Amino acid sequence: MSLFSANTKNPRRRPVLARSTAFRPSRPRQEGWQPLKLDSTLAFISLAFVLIGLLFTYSASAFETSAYVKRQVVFDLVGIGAALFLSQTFTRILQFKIFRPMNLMYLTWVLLIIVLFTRTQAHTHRWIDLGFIKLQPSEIAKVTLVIYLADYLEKTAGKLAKNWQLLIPPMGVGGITLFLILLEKDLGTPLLMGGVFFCMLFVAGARLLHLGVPVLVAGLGGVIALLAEPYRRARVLSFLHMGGSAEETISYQVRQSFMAVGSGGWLGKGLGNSELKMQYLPAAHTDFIFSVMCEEAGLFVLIVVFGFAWLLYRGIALARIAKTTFNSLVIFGLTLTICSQAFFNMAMAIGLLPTKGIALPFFSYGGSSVVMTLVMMGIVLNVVAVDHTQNNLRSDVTHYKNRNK
Amino acid sequence: MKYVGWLLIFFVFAFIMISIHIGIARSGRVISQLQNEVAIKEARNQYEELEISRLSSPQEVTQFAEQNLGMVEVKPHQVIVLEGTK
Amino acid sequence: MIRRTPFSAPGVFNVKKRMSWVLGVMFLAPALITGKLFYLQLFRHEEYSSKAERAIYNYLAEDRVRGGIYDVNGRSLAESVRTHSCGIVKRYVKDKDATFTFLAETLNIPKKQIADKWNQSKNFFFVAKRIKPDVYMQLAQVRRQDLGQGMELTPEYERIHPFGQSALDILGAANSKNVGLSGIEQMYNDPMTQDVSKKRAKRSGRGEIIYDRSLKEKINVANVYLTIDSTAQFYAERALNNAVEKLKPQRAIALVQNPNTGHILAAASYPVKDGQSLAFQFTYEPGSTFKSIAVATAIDSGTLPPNASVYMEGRNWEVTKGFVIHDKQHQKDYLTLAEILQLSSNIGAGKVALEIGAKTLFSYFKAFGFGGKTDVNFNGESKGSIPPYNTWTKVDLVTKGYGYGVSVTPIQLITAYSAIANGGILMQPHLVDRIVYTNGKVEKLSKPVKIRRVISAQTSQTMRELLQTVVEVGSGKRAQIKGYNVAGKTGTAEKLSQEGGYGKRSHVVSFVGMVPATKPEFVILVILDNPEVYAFGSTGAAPVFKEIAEPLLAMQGVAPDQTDFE
Repeated sequence: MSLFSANTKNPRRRPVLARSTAFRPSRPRQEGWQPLKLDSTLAFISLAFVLIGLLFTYSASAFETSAYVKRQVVFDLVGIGAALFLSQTFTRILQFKIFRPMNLMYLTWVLLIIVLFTRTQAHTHRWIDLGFIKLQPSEIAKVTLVIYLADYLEKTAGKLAKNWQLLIPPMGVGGITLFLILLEKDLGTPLLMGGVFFCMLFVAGARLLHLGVPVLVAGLGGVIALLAEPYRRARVLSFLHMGGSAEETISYQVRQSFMAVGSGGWLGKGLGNSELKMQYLPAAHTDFIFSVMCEEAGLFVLIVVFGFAWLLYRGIALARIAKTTFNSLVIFGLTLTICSQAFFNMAMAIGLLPTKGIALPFFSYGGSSVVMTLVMMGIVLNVVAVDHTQNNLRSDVTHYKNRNK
Repeated sequence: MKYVGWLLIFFVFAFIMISIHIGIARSGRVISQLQNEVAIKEARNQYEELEISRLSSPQEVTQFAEQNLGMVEVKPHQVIVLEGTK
Repeated sequence: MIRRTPFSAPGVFNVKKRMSWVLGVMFLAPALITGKLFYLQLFRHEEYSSKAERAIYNYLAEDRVRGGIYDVNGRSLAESVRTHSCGIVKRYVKDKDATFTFLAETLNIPKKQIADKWNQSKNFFFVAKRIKPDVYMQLAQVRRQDLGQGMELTPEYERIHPFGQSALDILGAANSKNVGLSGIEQMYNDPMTQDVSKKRAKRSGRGEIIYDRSLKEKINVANVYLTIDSTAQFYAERALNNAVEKLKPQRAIALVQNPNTGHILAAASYPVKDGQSLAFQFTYEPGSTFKSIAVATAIDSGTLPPNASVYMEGRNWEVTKGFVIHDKQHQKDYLTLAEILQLSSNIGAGKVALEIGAKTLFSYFKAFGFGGKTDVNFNGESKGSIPPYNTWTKVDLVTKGYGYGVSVTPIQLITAYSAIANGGILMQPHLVDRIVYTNGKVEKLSKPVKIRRVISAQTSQTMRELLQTVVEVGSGKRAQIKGYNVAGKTGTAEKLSQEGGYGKRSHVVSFVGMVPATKPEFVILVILDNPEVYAFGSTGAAPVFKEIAEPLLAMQGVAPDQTDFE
């Protein structure tokens, strides 16, 4: 597998977050198409998560029906295919005029508006039913918004702190996107996306003061949105009353989830032995798959938790050494999207955060989620690999790379 | 690459384990459904058998023979028992 | 790792540093998750385990399959049938209205009734009980659909007697929880009920049971086979019912025994009350049927020869001052033993008893099994009573000769007559033939047991000849069966009235007979207690004997004694 670079063989020289191959002279360019060398850590974590996720999707759903796991295999294969394809081609695709980041945003908005007119499913409309797959535009929005923002910040890097007006266009685009998702009666996704959005702006140099004002406005809006919908209010209230004596006010889902996690114990009940998955725990194969994992694997599930932490660490480390702002922010934003979603889901399953419809990336059953997560990983892998091949140091890259010395 | 190998071995092992355990649980459900069906069928069968035995009770048979078939009860001296048949 | 650099300078920002900050903040998440996982999975493991246990595992209702009771030929007399009760566990119900409509239609009960029960109960209530299999199938079919959520179908057992009231007095009753309450049901409750431990079963959220190896039932229930022959029982009951219709007695008993084995073939009583068979529990003064015991004792003990004659004292015998016995049914001065039985002479029997003497008579009574339980093994069997001989006065001795001053049970009397019938051996009476366990073990309880020889074979033969004459020429004429020699004795006893004397209108008529007299196959006892229509043993009870014996003989194909009839 020459597809993956073996950068772990590099001798350790100095304590940096990630060892880079950036300063080694690249090999002379060979004739013909050469596959990009992908970062083996990210690829390995992705593969491991996909496989483990498949196992637990199987375990959590097969008691009822084996249809889910069969479809999940298809989704995984499609996702891996898409990831491998994008990992080689993403940068080049983005160079087409038609795929300009702003165009991608328009496409996203169109999809987000279309979805508003679809049939409601479980009180919400988040999916466009394509028969084979239920397309969830908010998943696409996660990617496009990061790409758009990275692209925008590439042009404006370094000026943000001085000129707060530069923040208005991304705020506008982000605001529209998040608002459209909010209209789907989905609160978790815009919350996470907004978090990533602000982190990216912050990392790119925006001043906290400038960021604070819209956060405050959005926060107020969020509170109003919370209190407007009775079912959501109930959920939040049930979450706030949690703990201690008022156990009864915890929602049914979380109670079942606690039972699953708690009864698993530190060794777990054994793979495939979950008892709460037998029609007790709702959404056992989707949003609450983490509870099933805890029940079956016990504290060994920490491997997955630390896996996501490792993914985040590796992603941010690679973002730090990326040579362009765009590369850096794409890697940073997408890794952060995946990992924050993962942590949110886990925290939700064990009652640290209120129940929101956030899937566990790689693990939860669901076509859009799985495919888009893998697409994100493909993009990250591509950007990382492309970044490594670039040794034509641009001024801005040199500029901030040398700052640390 | 070595790690991918280990990962695949773990995957196969875990998959087998999960499928065994799920198979047990699923067949447990099937068995209990079948047991239920068996129990119902047995109960039905028993009802039919009881109906047979109700209909074949001496009272029913005598009544039917006397009323519907016009038979009369035999007197013991009219019975001829052949040697060796008793 | 990350060196501090001033951040505030406008235009000078550190991407790497800011990224590290974000990383640091994000790393709080896995830390918190790890902490919470440790908390849940280590510190609260026990608590949640027991919660999950309570939610997932249920203890299945005791599932008793009670054994059946069968007659000697294996025809079912009492059997348990699995029915179901339908309950609703409120927390599982998904669509309340649809479920109610469905249940109301299927079970044919008003919907409002279900709704009322729902409102009154907290978690669980029964919608219907004793649901027959066909309806149960309909209910069970929707169990996996939303409609059937919360429906709890628990097995219940109903005791069914295919032959209706037949032998119900012996069988007794078992309640809906399958506990025997009376009669055979109670006595053999232990073998008929399996050992039930509550079974722990895993259930899915919808309530389906997930089978486990530990769920395997080990059924070891027994079926009880009686010595009762349902056909004989039917004949006895039919004859008894006819007699009851005609004579309207307070109580009536018909008992059929095989004298050679002691098996009770039929035990009918009227009125029928579960678990209270008069054949074993009724005590009465036997009256004239007891005369044969006295005569048999006289012959066997050698007190009197079989052809002895007894002086009648002018048919008015003053035993002691103020106690006179009358014989109104004959005009003779001397009666032979045969005639005493034929004419049922009280004076004759009294004189025979006097001749025998108290001690000998008492010992023979005891030998015949009077005054003690027969160990036929029936709940509530009576002992009867024979007062000790040393308390007897002369009058007591004389009256005991013709069956007063003693109280016996029908089973004692018939067993005593069986001893006369079978050649002088008292057989242990048997009601239960065998117990058959589901694992194949058979416990035979009815092997013929010879308790003791009471009278010699010769005496037995003589007695049968004497009793045969009773039916041929004496009081038992109505018991004659064409083609067969019947031996028997009638009895008409005045009952001790409440004032203490013997009232004329309160009496017990009885007949005990055996057929064929030469080699008896059946001993049959018929007792009619206090018939409203006045009757004697000869007119009331003897025809019943005949009515029972005839179909029995035909059924068993007993060879007739005479073939030259016509």
